[in-house]
Amino acid sequence: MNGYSGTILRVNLTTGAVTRQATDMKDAALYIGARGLADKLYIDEVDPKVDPLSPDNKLVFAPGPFTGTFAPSGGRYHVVTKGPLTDVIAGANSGGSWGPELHYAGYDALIIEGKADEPVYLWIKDDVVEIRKASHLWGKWVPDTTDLVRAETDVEAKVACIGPAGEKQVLFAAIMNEMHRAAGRGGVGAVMGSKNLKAIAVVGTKAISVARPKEFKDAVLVGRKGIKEHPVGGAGLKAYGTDVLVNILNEIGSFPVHNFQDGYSPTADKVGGETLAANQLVRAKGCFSCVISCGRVSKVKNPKYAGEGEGPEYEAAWSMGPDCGIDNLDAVTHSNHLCNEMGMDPISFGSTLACAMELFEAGLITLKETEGVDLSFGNVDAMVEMTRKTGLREGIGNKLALGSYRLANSYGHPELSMTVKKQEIPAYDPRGIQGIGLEYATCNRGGCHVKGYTIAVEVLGCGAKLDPHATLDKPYWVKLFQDLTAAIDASGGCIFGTFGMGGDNYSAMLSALTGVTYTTEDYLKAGERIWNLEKMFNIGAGMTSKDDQLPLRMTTLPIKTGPSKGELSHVPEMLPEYYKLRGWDEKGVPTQERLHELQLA
Amino acid sequence: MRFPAVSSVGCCNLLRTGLLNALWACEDTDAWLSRGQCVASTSDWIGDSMPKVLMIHPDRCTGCQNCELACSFSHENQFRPTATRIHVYSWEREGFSVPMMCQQCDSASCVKVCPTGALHRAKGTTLVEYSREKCIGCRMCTIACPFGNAVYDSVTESILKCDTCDGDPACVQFCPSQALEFVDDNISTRSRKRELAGKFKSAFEGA
Repeated sequence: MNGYSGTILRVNLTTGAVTRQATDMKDAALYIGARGLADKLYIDEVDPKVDPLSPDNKLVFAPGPFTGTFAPSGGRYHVVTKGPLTDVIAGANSGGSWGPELHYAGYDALIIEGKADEPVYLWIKDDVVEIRKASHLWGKWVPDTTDLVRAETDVEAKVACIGPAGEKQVLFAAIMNEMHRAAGRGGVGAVMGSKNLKAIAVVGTKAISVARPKEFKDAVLVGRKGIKEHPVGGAGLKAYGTDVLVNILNEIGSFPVHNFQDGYSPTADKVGGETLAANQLVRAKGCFSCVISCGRVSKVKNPKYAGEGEGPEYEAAWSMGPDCGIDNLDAVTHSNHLCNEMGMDPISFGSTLACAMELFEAGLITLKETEGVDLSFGNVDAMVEMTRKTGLREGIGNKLALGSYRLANSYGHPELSMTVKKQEIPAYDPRGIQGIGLEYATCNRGGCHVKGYTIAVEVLGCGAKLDPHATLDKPYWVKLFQDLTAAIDASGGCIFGTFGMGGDNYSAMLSALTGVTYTTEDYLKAGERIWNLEKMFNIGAGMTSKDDQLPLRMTTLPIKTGPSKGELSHVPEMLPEYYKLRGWDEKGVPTQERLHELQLA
Repeated sequence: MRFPAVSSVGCCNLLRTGLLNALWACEDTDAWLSRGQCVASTSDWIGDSMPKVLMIHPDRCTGCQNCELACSFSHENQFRPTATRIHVYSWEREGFSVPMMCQQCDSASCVKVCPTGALHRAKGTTLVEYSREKCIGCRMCTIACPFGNAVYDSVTESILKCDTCDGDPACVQFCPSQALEFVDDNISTRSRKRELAGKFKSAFEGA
């Protein structure tokens, strides 16, 4: 049972039943844990046609084997459900220390099912599990919820909760833990809200044992050394956070602005990590077991936007900044704090607002609808106000809360939504960086960068340096990154660990920890198995190859200015090769042969 | 005279006293903590080697808890939050974290109240040692320690406190941000002194 707790906890909120089952160690060996194990548990039990916000949907939280150990930056938990934003598999992971605490409490996964009659929270102290009333917490924002739950349980309890955005089922609501850490994408917080589940507080005191301690420690030290010596993992992220990417992406002309109407901004630096470090940064922060410390403890002194919190990350600084024509970092940081405190994904929010701004400038959204707010690109005060209105679903915020796909469709202009599978694509312009576009198009959870972060090789030159404008070999790299990331997610690792560690490091640590031997090939194979399992769920949910494409703008409207002027995305040309490499047919359906090979059939 | 061989130990005595006073008196805790503090000293320094102290720099702490993990693992070969001898306390609203471990006090309350001598200081050392064989599990030390740094562990049925890993603390090895350092006693306060000297400098320059 090394690396695992051996127990899966199940809480039915309809009946109040709390039950336990043994972790299936055969599944653990095949799917590792966290994302993989949660996927397996969820997909075995839930109909892919389920309405994401109905009591029939389930929500699975799972730490991985690394979670709670000193595997470098390996303290994450994963949440799996069907996403209300996307209507496909939603998997979001988060750092902080909530995941390790759940693992220490003795659980490899927590399955939430049904729906409570009234607001409740869950209090888990090792073997003692209570469903408690939470009506007095309903409506509270994330920091206050966290403090109040601690006051009623244990002052050192780790608390994952939703804010008003989750309660009101904003379709991109997040689940927050330790106040500022987010399982952010796909609307996992809205699913929690739909179940009337406000928070999960955990205290765990049990041990995670190690199969081969000396070997594990040695593998960890090798991995740590790799990260420490890496320019991004060892220095860049701590100094400037992920927001350091603003200038890097802008310099290659792949920094989308004004809802992807262009890919370059002459004033991008104003929202970059260097500016953040000089003005808003208080100190760097690390999640549990992190050796990188990309977290930004930030404070805004400008009285108009004053406050303390964390972030923004690169994608948030972009989405609520230049994608909305805004370069005021005080305001963007403030809105990022609001997103954290209300519990919603700033990527989808910012991109949805950018879409609304384009609809407004086209005269489709009227001043009457915005209650007099000028939603033109660049209106800083409007951006801040819309953040609050969206999280609380007030006025026009009630429409923004549905995401840009539903918003743009409601005005008859679906082409203005920058989404894949209804989820907003992030801050790397796929017209200037070909591989990441293929990742957006094929990612199982919809438009997303982190599940196949080819930026590492296409832009940052980590491990290899590829031409971002070229399409050659990109399907190979996308598949490789997707499979490796799935395995890292399943282990409980942070994707930033790859700034210094590779598959060899991960498989060595996992083998020594669990006692199950994984070669690097085995490790990647586990990732590929997880990817295909998710894919089969999505096919069951009704997805076809038509859903594996970028917004029309990416293939028809060239970048207008900057170093990537004239570029378009070539995803349609890369897709057949990607399907072939995956062992899928020309319609993007996994062949029986490949499923059999992956022990999925 | 407890420290017959090395006169510089007096500096550490003063510092520890200063730590206690500051903890109770200082209103601006953040500013005080950010100067870095001597909180623990270690074993046998008689001879040529300078006694070393575990320095905490809360201003550098990222709250990652790698020190706790390393501590639990090096003592128990497992990761158990209740097995660690060092604990990180975080204030999430302000994003501030402080690691806490045994201060190895000169005038140690735990040693004074221990009825069996299980907690003791060997002659000529700066480390408060613990002898499992002599311990009767009365938990008096956990009550007496003003910091809460002596903890009873029901799994091992023993008192857990920092032993500086026999002079090679695992927490220091695993701290990714140098928030924990194991340094020679006589230079442990150098950075603090320079900082305060700098304030004098500014005051004179401004005058």
